[in-house]
Amino acid sequence: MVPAGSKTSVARKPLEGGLKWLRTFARRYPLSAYWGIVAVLTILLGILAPWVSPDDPLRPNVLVRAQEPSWKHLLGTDFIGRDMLSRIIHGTTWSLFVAVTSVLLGTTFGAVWAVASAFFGGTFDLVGERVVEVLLSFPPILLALLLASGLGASTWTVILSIAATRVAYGTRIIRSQALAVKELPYVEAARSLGASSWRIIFFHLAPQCVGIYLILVTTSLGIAIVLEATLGFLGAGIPPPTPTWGNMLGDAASMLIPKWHLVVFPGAAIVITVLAFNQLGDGLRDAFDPKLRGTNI
Amino acid sequence: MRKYLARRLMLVIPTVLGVTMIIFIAMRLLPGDPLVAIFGLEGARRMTPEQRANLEQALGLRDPVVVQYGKWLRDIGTGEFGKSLLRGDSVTQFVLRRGPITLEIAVLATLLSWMIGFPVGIISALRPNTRMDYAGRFFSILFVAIPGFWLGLVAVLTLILWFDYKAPILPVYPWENPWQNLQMVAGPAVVMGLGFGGFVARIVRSSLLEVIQEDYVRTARAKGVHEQLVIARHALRNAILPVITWSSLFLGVALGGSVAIEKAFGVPGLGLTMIDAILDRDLPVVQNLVLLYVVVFVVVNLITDLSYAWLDPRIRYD
Repeated sequence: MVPAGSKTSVARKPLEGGLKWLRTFARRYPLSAYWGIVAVLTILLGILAPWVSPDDPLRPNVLVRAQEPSWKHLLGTDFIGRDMLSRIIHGTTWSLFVAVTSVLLGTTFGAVWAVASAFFGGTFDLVGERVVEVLLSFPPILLALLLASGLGASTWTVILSIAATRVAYGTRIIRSQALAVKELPYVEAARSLGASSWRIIFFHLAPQCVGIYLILVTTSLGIAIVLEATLGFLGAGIPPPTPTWGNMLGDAASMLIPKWHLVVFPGAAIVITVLAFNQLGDGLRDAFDPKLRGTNI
Repeated sequence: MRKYLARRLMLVIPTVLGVTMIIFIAMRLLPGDPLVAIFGLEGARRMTPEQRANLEQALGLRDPVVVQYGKWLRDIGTGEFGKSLLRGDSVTQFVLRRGPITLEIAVLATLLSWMIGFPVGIISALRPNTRMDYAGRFFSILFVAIPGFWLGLVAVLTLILWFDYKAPILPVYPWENPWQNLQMVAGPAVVMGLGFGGFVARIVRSSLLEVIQEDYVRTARAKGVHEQLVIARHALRNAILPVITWSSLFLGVALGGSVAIEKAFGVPGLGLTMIDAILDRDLPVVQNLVLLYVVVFVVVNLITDLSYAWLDPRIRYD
């Protein structure tokens, strides 16, 4: 069916198409593209942390406690003499890992629930909507705090707690999309051709929700990073000595008179990362779905 | 309208019930022994099994879970919110003593966010893609991304280094000493107000940009209405609705965010009480305070929804 020799062009086309799409995106949303580069660099930094960090983030050195930035320790040292630059670089790994995993978990769960809820309707949908309302009644940080301290401190409980705050948003937004798509003529056509429920859900409903799902994931990353940092700051996050940005801020604040470099640098890392993901998310949202432009999902 | 009101009020009941269930389940998950929380590790270990059994009986920890849940619901119904396990104070006393501070911070922050967000958003929308617009958008993007508690920490650090700031220990009320009270709530309110201001500016800008393109705005301009009146009377009034929706949603974020911001400033509000109670495993305080926060949020959302009908006559509920 595919003529011989066209194999290479088939393999190359998606890449070319992707590059073209990237160029168009960068031209139309230059600001988002710049911040997208920052986001990619942050992710690379998180992945390459063990190789690029100058020192061991966990090894204390009592001789250099709470020192201000110097040539030896570019961002100074913390109160038990660990190198701050290394801690912040390793903190990138943890913050991104927690944010990405929890957002993917929470939003995916919400999306699957939403599509099923929209498709089957009836009591399932009605009860589900009540549950969503209950979940949305909690201020996100409060729900995360309650669950994180309830489940006990560990990396996975923090991830689950943050994921729980994302579920309801995913469900609400994707459900309305799925409900709209469900009424379109092509779904009716598929049904009249005898397609099974599963076939309609997977091949006709779900693909229409992928765009909004991706937007939701990108725009939620910033929120998840801040949630994780807040939990760490409040002492309910990933237990020490794991270097996360929130833990570092919590440690700094617990001192009677905090050192400025222990407060400023981890916070700056959070702000830059959140800015990058928010801006990238805004651009992607405008590019994928002009209807949502200017909204805050 | 009355029918709609009744239906909305009816729907609040299952929501709040569901919330109590989630809180209760989370509380049962909480690891650690309440007796350790009260008497310390040493005290709890030295207890005889008999003493332990008596205390657990007295605290109601021996009852089946369903009975404990039922008791809590009954207590809420009768307005009996229990006592702190660690301190002698009742939860009601906590709320009366520290609630006003948190409320003051939330209200001031909201007012401040409008005072910042509206001018910035309006200027941005009226002069799109100019230097002013870019500055306004940069402001809103930046303050949306900055976590409030970190801004609070930086502010406290500056105050300590330059002004010899000391975190307040006891709440000071505006009716006692307005000046000291203002010193206490100003920091958290400004920090939170800046964050929301960013959000408000962004929403005002996008909704005003949309409204300005409407036919009736063009009509108003065409018949020679003064530009300021066009904006104030015709455009802004219709652009305000999304701001109200989002402001009420922010209030939920504000209530939650105030926990971390109060902690950063060391302001003795309700949020600080709650985080201390969570870390101390002070179950009665935690479950009732979390419930209070959620109920306040639900009520505000309800009022927001109802105020639509009044603000926007196009919306009719039947």
